[in-house]
Amino acid sequence: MWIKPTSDIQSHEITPESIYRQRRQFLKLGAASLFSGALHASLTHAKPFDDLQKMPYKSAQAGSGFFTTEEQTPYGDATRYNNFYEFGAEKTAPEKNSKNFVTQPWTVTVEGEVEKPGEYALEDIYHSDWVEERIYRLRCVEAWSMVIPWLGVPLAKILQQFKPTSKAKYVYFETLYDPEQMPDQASRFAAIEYPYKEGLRIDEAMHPLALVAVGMYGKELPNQNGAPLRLVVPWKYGFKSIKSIVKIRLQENQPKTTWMKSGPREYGFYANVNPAVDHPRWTQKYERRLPSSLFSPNRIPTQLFNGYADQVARLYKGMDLVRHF
Amino acid sequence: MVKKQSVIKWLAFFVFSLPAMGIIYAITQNSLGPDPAEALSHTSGAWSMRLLLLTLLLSSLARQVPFCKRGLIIRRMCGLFVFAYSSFHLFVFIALYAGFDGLLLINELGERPYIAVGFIAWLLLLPLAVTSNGFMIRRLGSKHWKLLHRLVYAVLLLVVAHVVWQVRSDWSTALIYSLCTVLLFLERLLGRKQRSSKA
Repeated sequence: MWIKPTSDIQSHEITPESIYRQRRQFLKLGAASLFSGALHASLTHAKPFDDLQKMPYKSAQAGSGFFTTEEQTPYGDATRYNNFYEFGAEKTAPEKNSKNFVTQPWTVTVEGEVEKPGEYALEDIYHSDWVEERIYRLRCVEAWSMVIPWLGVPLAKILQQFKPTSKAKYVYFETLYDPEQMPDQASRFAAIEYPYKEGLRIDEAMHPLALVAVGMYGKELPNQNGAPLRLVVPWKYGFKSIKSIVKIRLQENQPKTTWMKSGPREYGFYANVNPAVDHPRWTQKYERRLPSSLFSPNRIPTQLFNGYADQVARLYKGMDLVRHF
Repeated sequence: MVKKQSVIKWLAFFVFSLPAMGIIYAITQNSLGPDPAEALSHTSGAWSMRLLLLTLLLSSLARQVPFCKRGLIIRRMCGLFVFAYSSFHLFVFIALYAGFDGLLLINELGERPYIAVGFIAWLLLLPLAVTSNGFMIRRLGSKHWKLLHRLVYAVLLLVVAHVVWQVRSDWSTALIYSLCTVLLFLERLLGRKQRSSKA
């Protein structure tokens, strides 16, 4: 006989772990600022979850549009199912091959149409008390998606430090090029050019949603997720969210990104999530929300701009989204 | 002699089943990763391709190396396993990628070349699978049966196109399959020249 449990709490009524932890973190924020020195000193090797350093952060304001209450992807899946071709083309390769990736010291070169170009150390790019939690959907062009609690700093806030000039119309980003640490960069069979290049229009970069992530799930970024800093542009396909950034350049002309070069018919500059614009080789009307299982594949319809339309549609007013894909 | 054939066949059956056992095990252990659609599709597709190449290799070896004539004992089984794995591959696509959505499937067939060639390849395998038994060989007669089974070359070319069309950044696998295909065709073309020049 099946006896129903008396307390039938709906899963959405249970306080998500992240909010539970947020409330505690918020209280500890003051003491945590001492943290950052020790944090950076110890970032020499990739570590499993238990060894990754916790990061202090502010919680997102309710109604800010910066977090979703959808079920989050389990940490194990978010860190063992990655597209980071530099470390290998298999989904499980980045976690396996990035264990010794060195993320400290880390320098970001800032150049181009800015008043304050230079080579910035990671700790000079952002302050630890700017870090906030954003829970975003991430939609890969391959038609799978995840919900990830990122820790990061708005890209706008970071760029404003460098004082972009009026000539800055686009932002260009580059990933590290180091064939000794990134095996696929030394391979003869790689079909994309390295270093990995991406770019945004200046108004996209300055949009409040655009995030420079330095952590996830309450801790620093694992190597396979783009440590020590990466972009998260949630209304675009995941390949726009460039990882392990070493260069930021403000420029006048639209940059040619790695995937545009690799497949100009398939990967455009904007790469906005759009169920009405199919990829030439597969449909974009649906996605598999991971983790998916055999008996509940979690196949859901894809939303325009990955569900962020009310926040970003204004950026593309009047633009032909098919032509500018 | 008959007993030895049985042993070889049972052994081959076991070996060809190993990937399927691996798949079943992974399903029960929930170790397919967060995107089982991709894992299942990839594994079943890869084994279909490898066994297809093996099927053709068995014929090549039988022709070139007298000792390897015995390989022909397991060639039929190998081909049937190709049909089995590729049918599963197709099922995974219909069920997990397209959610049994008939309209979507028709649309995908029409708009995605790699899906179209893959499906045609499977369709061509159907008559081959159905006629892979003694009864049908006798029914069709050796000459017509051999003609029909030449379709396997069309299948091979379509499947190579299916793989090449999906390459995103890593060419190595597509290259290996293509190379094997070229070698298998070469053995047949050169062999023909030799036979016709001898006659």
